[in-house]
Amino acid sequence: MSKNDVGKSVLALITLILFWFLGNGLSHYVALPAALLGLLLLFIGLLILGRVPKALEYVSQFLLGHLSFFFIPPLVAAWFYAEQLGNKLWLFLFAIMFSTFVSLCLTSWLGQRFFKQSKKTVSQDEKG
Amino acid sequence: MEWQSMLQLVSLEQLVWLSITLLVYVLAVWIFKYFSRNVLFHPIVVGAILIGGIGVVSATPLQDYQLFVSPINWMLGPVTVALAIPLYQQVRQIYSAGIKGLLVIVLGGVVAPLLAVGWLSLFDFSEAIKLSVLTKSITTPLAVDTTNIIGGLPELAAGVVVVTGILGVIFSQFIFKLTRCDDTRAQGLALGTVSHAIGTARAHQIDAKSGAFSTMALCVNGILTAIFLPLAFLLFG
Repeated sequence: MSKNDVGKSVLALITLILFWFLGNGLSHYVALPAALLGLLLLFIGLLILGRVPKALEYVSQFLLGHLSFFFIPPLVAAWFYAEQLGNKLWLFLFAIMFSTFVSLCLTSWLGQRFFKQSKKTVSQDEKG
Repeated sequence: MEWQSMLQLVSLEQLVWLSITLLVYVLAVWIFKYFSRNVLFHPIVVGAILIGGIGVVSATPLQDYQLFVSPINWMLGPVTVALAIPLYQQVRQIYSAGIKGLLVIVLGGVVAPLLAVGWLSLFDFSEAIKLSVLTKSITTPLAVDTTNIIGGLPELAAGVVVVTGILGVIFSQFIFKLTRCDDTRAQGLALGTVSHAIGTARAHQIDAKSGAFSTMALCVNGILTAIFLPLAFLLFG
C-alpha cells in the first residue's frame, strides 16, 4: 500500500466517524439509534454521489470483515447476566433456540418457494 | 501540559487489555480457520472464552475489563455506519428481490422476536430481560443501541444476538434439507434475516450470490427492526 492509499484510508475512516457523529447529533431529535441514523445519512450521501469511493469500500470491507472483534467485549459482559439468570438460563436459551429454529424454517421455506416461482417466470420469458 | 493529561487518560492497564483483546482475536481467528470455519469455533465465542479465562487468572473484575476496552465499544458506532456501503451495493438486489423478497425478510424478522418474547412471557422473567430478546435477529451494534432505547439490557441483548447467530448457522445445515431449500439465494436470504452477520459469513461460504442476498437481508432486517422498535415503544410504550 502506498502512502497515498494510507492517507485515503485514514480519510475514509474519518468519514465513517464523522457520519457517526452526525447520527449522534441527529439522535437528540429523532428517537432512533445513533449508529442507524449515521448509516442512513451515509447511504443517502452515497445515493447522491452515485458510487462508492475505493478507499471507503476498502476500509468498510476491512472493518466489517473483522466485525467479530468488536463483539468480544459485549459477549464477555453477557456472561454476567447469564450467571444472574441462574437456573432460568435454560428456559431463556430455549426461547432463543426455538424462535431461531422456527423463523429459519419459515424464511428458507418461503424464500425457496418465491425464488422457484421467479425462476420459472424468467425461463418462460426466455422461451417466449 | 496538555499531552501529559492525554497520556493519563490512556492508562497502561487500558493499553495492556486492548492489546490482549487484539491478540486474543487474532488467535481466535486462527483457531476458527484451523477447524475449517466450523461455527462452533466462531472467533467471538473462542475470543470471549479466552478473555474470560485471562480475566479469571489475572483476577480482573468484569466491570474493570469493560472500562479498559471501552474504545472498542466506541468504535462499534462508526463500524455500524460502514454497513451503508454494502447496503448501497445491494440496492439492485433489493430491487430484484421485490416485494415478495422483502416480505420474507419482514416475516422472519417479526416472527423470531415475537416467539422468543411469547415464550419468556410464560415464565417469571423481568421486563428488561424480555425486552432484550426483541433485537435477537439484528446485527449487534444496531441491537445494542435499539435495546438501550426501548429499555432492555444491552449487554444481554449482545449475548442473545451472538447465540442466535451461531444457532442459526448450526440449524441451517439441516433446516435447508427439511424445507428442501436448495436455491442459494433463498439460503442467503434466510441466513441474513435470522442470523445477521454470523449467518452472512456462512452465506459467503456457500457462494457469492448467497452472500449478496444475506448481506441485503442483514441490512434490511437490521434497519427495519432498529426503526420500528423504538417508534413502537415511543407510540405505545
